[in-house]
Amino acid sequence: MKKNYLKEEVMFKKVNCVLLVDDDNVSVFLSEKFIRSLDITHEIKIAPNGEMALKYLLECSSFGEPFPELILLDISMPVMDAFDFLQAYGNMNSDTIPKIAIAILTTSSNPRDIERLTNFGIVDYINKPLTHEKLIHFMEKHFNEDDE
Amino acid sequence: MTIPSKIKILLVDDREDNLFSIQAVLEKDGYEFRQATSGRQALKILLVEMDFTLILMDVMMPNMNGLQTAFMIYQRERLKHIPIIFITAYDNAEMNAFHGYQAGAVDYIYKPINPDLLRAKVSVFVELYRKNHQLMEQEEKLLQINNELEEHVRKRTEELYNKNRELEYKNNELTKVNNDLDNFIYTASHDLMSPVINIEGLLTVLYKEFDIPNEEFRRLKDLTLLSAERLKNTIKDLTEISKVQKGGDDDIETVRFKNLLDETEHSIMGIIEKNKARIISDFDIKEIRFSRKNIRSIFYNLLSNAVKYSSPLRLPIIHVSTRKYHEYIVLSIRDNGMGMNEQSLGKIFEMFKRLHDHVEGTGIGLYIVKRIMENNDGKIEVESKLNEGTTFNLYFKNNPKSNEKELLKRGSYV
Repeated sequence: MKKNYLKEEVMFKKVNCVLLVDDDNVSVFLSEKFIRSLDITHEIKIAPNGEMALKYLLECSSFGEPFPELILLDISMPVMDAFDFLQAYGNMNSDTIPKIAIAILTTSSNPRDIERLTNFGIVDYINKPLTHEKLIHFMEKHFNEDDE
Repeated sequence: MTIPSKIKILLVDDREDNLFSIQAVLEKDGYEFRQATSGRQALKILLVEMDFTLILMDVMMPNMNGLQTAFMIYQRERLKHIPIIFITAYDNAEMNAFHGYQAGAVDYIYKPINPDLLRAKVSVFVELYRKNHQLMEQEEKLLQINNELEEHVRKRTEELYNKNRELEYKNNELTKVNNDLDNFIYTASHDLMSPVINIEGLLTVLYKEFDIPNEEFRRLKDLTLLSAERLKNTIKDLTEISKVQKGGDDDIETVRFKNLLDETEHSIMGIIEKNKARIISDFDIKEIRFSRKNIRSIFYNLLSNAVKYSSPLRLPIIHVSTRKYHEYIVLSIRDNGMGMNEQSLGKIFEMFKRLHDHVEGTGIGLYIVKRIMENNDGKIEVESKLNEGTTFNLYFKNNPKSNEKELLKRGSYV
């Protein structure tokens, strides 16, 4: 039943690149699997924490590579968590780093976390585990082809 | 100090025959005597012996007369309490000077001495002396009792103080342990959540990619997914509890009951429509100062319970009302649902206690509501009749501690 989604006409734009920022291997494995099977992007980049994600964005900027169009961000990570990453990303020069849609992947919607994150202009929250339904819903909401 | 068995009297006269005759008169009454033939000798005796009850002294003496001697005697602090009876042939104005000195303790007797009068006068002073000593003894006893009492009180106070200190210490320890426990629950539930979510995700992928059209397999699949779901919900509840435990009085504001009810109805619209429930409100008290998050949790839990546990025999009608009761604002939520027997009533506030298995729930809602009420000096009461309905009465302290805290906080900024 769930596989039917793939055969149906889905109404979202395929993006160039998704950056997945998460330290949990299993979680990354699952997210990657759903993203690939839904074919929402040409490329998936993975960063194990906020610092590596920042590094990747800076590399895109310096080597003139295309930036990811969507960042899926886990909240709690070692080295640099979501809050610190968002802070640093917000401080970056907007001429060199474009505004990227950022969605938070959470295990629980802790209202305090949500409140803190709201200030960073997050586009949406997706409760883990990622599923086809959630991903399609999200893509249709934020990457609707009709919008273009 | 005890009453001396002997009454000692000092006789002072320059003529020995006088001394002899006075002693002879008074001896019948069993006193003890010392004799001095001059003021000087009297003073000498008084240097060594100070325990005289009375001094009988002739006024007319060579060298140092009686009045001069008396003056010398009374200059010594330790002799001031000894009364003197002057023996004189005539009135002497100087004698009166001693009245001011030692009120009532100075008297005189005229020559020639009337033996009966002498005995009477002496006995008055002796009696006075005895009474005085009795009083002094009693006073001493009282003082001792007083001291004992004071000592007793001091010891008890010290004991109480120590006990208090001990309690304070234990209280601090408990608070610390409690905090540790809260942190533990919070961290543990968070750390448990990720792997459970991963398992759920992995199972979903597994069943999608390796689906076997077999009854036994379908059953196993459903049960594993259900187990993962249950584990997830339990961990979610643990997180909820630790949130309540953490106090959560940082979002205290004036909350309108009507708004709360609207919000809650909106969030449980699904089950309200499914059960065709009707909610009637009557808010005598319009608003309350409380943590918005906490009171929202209270409304959500109690209202969704009232709708969920409705009777299959009738459509659910739920009355929500507020009123004032002494120092409390009382929130009542009354339903016409399934109700409970007494045995069940005793259990509903326990953690993870579920009374029905046909209705979804994890058994944490009422526990959380009770914790919130107790943390804010309030209470929750429940009345229920099986097959008739249930009423929850929540007593909110009109001026909860948190208000004071907030005022204090504000005050410090002024």
